[in-house]
Amino acid sequence: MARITDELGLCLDNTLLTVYFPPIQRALVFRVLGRANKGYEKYDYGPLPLSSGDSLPKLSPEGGTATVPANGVIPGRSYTPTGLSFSLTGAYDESDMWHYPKDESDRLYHVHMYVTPSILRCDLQVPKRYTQPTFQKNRIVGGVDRDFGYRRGYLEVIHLPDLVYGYRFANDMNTNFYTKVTFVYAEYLVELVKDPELVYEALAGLKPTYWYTMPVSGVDESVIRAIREAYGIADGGYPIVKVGTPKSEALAGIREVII
Amino acid sequence: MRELLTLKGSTDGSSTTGTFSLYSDMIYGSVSYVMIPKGLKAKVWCKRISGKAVEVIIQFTHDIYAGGSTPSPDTADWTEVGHEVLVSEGELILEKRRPLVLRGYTGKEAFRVRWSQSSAGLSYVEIEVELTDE
Repeated sequence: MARITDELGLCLDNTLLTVYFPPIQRALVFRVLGRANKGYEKYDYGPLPLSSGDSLPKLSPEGGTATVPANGVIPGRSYTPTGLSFSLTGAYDESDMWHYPKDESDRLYHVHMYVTPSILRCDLQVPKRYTQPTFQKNRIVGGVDRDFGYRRGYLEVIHLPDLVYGYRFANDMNTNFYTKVTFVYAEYLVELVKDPELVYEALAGLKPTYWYTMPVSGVDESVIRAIREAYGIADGGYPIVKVGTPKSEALAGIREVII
Repeated sequence: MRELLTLKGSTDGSSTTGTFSLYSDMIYGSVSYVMIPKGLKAKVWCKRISGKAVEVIIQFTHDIYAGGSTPSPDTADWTEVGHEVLVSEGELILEKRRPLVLRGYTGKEAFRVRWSQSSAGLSYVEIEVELTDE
């Protein structure tokens, strides 16, 4: 089987990339035409965007707050309740380098985020302030401040246009850590696949595609709106092809959401 | 997931017993104990001891909170899990040994490093700790 990703975990040129939203069982299928930053995928961003004097809540059982003692230092036993954004001077949104407009939907950002120290807990808010990890149909909310719903040291993220994500972190040790973030990313040149036959083949597993599952337990209306405005696709994406669904019915479902 | 921390400390030169205040390039400030995150292991791979004669003791506790809701290293129940002796002034380097493995079962576990000397003097300790989920 042909490879679809390189040694960095990024899609090769002329491959398919599927972004899947489990809660609504919808997906977007992209063709990766190329990579704008080929050969220059690593960005040593620097410390976490925490400023000296910031107040962060402390993890259970302590409670209370901790003060960031110096820029980029995460205090012991603390977490960021709202996802962080990474500023970049000159970017479309200088407060968030991964936020880009809907009229640039010919680009897609595939990000592998590594944080040092790698013991830090990480989770993702999509969109920002919308905590996603849950258990048993949202009965219990997880995340970096809970016992589950996080990953240590790493996140894989696909940034869609016109959406602001939040990166959350927690330090469950008692040591104040200096931090460093490294992004290994691709700025893909993409086209959204609108050929129902090709979408069907990708979603039915008949064509190789890099399958990225959005780490979400709910899909906010703002996400569905952003997809509609950026790609002209209704309802948050193409419906997943279910087992036993006749092909003609699946194709009709795919055509139905193309605006 | 793994992270290697080099923790360093020194005796105060005037007390015959005490707890090392540990610092590292990754740590802002210093700590008198190190908590082990739930689900992770702290593997102590290497110890380097130098300076005046000293005994270096690694202690472990299952509950740094001692039943409360704030860390209480003074009342926690510490158990000795490692003991090295630098018998005379000089240097003792213990590397490439099987690591001392300390597990984070609940997230309340912690370890600390203490010293004991027959006569107070300046001694230094350096330990390599790997934090890992493997």
